[in-house]
Amino acid sequence: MKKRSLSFMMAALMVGSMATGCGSASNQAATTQAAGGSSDTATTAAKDSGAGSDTGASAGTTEGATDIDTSTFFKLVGDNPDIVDPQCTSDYYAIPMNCFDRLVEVKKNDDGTSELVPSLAKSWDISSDGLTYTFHLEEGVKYQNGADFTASDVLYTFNRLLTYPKSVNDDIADGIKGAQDVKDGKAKSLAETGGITVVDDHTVQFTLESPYAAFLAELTVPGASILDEDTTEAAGDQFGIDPSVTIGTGPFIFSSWTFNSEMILTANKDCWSGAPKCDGIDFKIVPDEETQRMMFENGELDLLDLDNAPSQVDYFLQSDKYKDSIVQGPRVGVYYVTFNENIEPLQDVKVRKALQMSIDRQAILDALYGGRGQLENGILPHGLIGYNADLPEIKYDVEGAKKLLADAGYADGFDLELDLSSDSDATGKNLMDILSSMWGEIGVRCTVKTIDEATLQDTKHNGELGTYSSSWSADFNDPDNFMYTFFGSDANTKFRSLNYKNEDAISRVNAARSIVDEDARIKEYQDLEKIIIQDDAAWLPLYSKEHLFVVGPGVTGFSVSWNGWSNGYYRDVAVAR
Amino acid sequence: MLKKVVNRILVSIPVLIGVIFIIYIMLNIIPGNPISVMMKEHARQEVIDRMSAYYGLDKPVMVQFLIYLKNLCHGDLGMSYKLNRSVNALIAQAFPYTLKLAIAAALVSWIIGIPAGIVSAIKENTAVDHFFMGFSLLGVSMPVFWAALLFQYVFAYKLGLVPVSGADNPSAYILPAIVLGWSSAGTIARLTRSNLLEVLEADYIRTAYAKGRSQAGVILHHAFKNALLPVITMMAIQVASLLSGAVITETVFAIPGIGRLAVDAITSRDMPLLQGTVLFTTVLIILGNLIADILYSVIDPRIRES
Repeated sequence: MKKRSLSFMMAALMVGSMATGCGSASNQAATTQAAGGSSDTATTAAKDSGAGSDTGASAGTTEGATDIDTSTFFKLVGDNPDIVDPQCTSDYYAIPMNCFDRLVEVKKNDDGTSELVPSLAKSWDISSDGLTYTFHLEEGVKYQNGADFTASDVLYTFNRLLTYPKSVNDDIADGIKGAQDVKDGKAKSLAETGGITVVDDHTVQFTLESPYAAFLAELTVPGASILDEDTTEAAGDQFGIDPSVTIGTGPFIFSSWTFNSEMILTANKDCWSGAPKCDGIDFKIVPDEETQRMMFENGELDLLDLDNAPSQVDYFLQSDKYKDSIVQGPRVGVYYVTFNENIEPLQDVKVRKALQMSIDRQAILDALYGGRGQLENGILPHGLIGYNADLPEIKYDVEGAKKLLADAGYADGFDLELDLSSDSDATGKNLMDILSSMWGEIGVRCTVKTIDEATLQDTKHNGELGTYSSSWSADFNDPDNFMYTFFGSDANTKFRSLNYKNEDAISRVNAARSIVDEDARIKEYQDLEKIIIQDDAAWLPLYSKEHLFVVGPGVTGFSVSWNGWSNGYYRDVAVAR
Repeated sequence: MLKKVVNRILVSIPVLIGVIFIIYIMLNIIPGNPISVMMKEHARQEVIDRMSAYYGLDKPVMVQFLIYLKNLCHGDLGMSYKLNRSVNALIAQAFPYTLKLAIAAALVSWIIGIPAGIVSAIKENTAVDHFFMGFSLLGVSMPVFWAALLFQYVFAYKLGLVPVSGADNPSAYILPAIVLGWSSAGTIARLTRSNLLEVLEADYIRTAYAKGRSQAGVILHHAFKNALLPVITMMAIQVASLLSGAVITETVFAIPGIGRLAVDAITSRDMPLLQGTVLFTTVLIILGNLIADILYSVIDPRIRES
């Protein structure tokens, strides 16, 4: 009898403990999001934040060196990556950008524009048919472990992009001749398919399947970082996890990774392109926004990225002590609200236009971001090549919208579901409430539904998600990065639950990739942008916004990256202690 | 005694298998693909399909479960989808942080809770009693996240006595230990007080006084030992639950422990990691109760003999 009651008690306790485990965990999820949610993670694309977790690998707490003196290092809050292998991450860029180099890099000019500049490739020639790119490589470049950089590493890098099972950036190499055969295992290497030819140790030639004007720009993305064949192969699945084998040619050396807590980069004083100006970078992984602010004010951080701590923006803007320390730059990206054309009555262009016209976008920008940003009227945002300043403004016109709705047969309005990710921060929720209320003015009855992030992504990819808001920022400076991603194929528009139906426009977006004449290509993109967003009202463009940072005393040389990402190149940052 | 312990362990096995099965099935009927969550806006169908196949997610759930069980028999909790590392290693890395925090918090709660309970019982219904009970009520009632932020603000930020956060500096554990310990201390103090009061009513206590023993002697020698039994159960359960990760405290103070690992696993649908942490926690709770039972027997001869 006694034994039985004991085992009952135990079972009850265990179930209790499970419930506590799960319960506290989900509470916590809510807490983390409310507090730490990355400003645009839920919504942003080219994003480099994320509520992830992280770790080191084998037993022990720190991977790599443990006795680094970081007192003179540049200290900032880092994201919490899963892995730092440039080919295996699509949202963590700090280490790929600073410990590795690419053939070509982007440089931000003083006037805010950006240009492609040589890096590991000191120069290049492009054939007149736009199919062949010949890169002349820098000589005497060494990896951080002393190995020589040669043209065969370039071939290796692109082969690995296509064949490494965990590669998520294979699309960078998709346009190279024979890429599909390499993926399918029909060919072992791009050298075999004629996609990449190693001419000599310092010359490498790429041949594309068809002309792809954005190819050079795409080579600047973190995923196209050049890897050393011998080091990377020897590292196996520890590459990107164990700092001692995660080796590039860049200005910083990945030195230590402490489980969910800290990542340390030290200066590569022998870097082929010159030593960085600070002794190292200390990324601290701190999820809570209040904690981040206190650490910054205590001098434990040299830089505070307000996209990681949106709740603290007003505090800093209103602080006499800090308001002059705020540095900002535009995020080259567009916030938008989707219309799923498979959902009644959004298949009707008049309805979509009415929805576009009934939103006072400036009021939203003012309310949510204190007006720090610019209205967008299409797909290509301010700061991107191909941005069209002459695109007509989508005017706020409630009466016009009501009339359009009546014409479409919905004078009494209709029901509309707005979907919100459980990962959204307060701003995301406020946006949904504002949209509901503005659409309410023209009789559209909105219900905001909060959906668990994982479920939301699945539903979206199946093309079944209701109206939602998200954003996309530039990975590389080319309209293709926006146009093709959303409207380049039926599959692409379904994947984001747009289900855009204009087949002619879709095939033109796809064809535009191959237009060799630059002016003609940009003109085509601008025409298409007008058709898709203004004539067909495929989505409601909102705005692009400013990315704010607070810079600590003694820090010089920090500037916001060309596209406004959280992480840029830190080689020019210096810290005086 | 040994037989009893062995018995208890044997009883736990079917329970454990049941738990593993329930966790597995429950977690796998939640919709959502880990690859989609991981890649967010950059997801592409091609990559989702390829990686899902790579991790065996395209197989039927029961097949996946059998593979999981097979690996589990070898002590292998699997590979985390998201973190690209073995779950065993991840737990091994996170646990020391949680352990440090749990020990510190438990010490705080015992050092405050037990004496506070004893004093309150002796001084029943006096100002001292009201003070200690108010203090413990406050500990139990304060939301942990609020207390954590408040303490952080006052002691780390305003007064600069301890670091705001951190995991490697021992002084960084002071605040989180006090925050967590205080809330457990409240429960322990109240339990100690009520049990002691009950015991103090017993006949043998009156006998002890009649035999002329001092109050301190009676309390410490006769009453306290008997009042301690339920308190020990509570302490064991509290320690086990502290060891399963104090997610909120770990988040606020940026301590990379088990709690944060589990939360990240849930939000990213990282099933192997989630199963691993839940299973680990379950085993800890079972062990906690087992230890409480053994301590029971040590303290109380009646249980030992039954």
